Amino acid sequence: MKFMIHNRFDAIAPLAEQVEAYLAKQRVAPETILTTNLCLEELLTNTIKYGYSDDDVHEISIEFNLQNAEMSIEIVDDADPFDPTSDAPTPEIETPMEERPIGGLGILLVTSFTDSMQYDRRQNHNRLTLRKRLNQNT
Amino acid sequence: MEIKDAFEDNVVIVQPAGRLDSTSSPEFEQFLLAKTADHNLLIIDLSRLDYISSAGLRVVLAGAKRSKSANGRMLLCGMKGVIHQIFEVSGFLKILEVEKNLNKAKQAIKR
Repeated sequence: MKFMIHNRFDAIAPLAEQVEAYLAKQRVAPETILTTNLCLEELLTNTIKYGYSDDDVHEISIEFNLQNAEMSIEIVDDADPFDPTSDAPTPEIETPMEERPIGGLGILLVTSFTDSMQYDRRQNHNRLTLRKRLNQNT
Repeated sequence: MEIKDAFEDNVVIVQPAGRLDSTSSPEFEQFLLAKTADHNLLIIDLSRLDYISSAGLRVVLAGAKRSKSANGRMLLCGMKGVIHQIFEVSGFLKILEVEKNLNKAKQAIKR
């Protein structure tokens, strides 16, 4: 199942509703649907906020594949090259509250709620593949 | 998102319900800013929250920092299931004051 959105923040909530409806139909656990939408919000917000150096409308595709108790999600965009598996700063979660910078959490949440994340830059497109085993609680 | 609030025994209790995401976080931030400006004891009850993303977590952390620098106190309570897990993996459970439910938070904030 493939979803397409434009690089606009207000596209994320309607996408989340469509993803929820689709995954519920595939009998994916509600907790997994929630964390999947969390991952999508974190990644898409980053891309839309920082990824484009022009004001044009760009398309982002989000493609789901569910088979053999595994879900894979491939996100493809034509934004500036960005590899969340290596370019994102590691948040300082052990730092005392008063010293912690605000922000930098999104990618940590994505890696926590998926089993793997793979990045590839091909033909001027970022291609990020998330994988998650199903039939578990989150 | 819907935000309810109450004022009991000098403590402000804030209850956000629904989704605390990148769209609704600015509204919640404004709400918290207004509350922490006037009062220094604050409980945020998350029992009616269905979803939170890093945008929402940032607002909570900023609120706790503000409250601490003003010699106030901010307690969180009522996190369930995945919401609790999201706070846990973000490392926030170690740095914020968290109670199981609203009653426990009301007792704890007096200590």
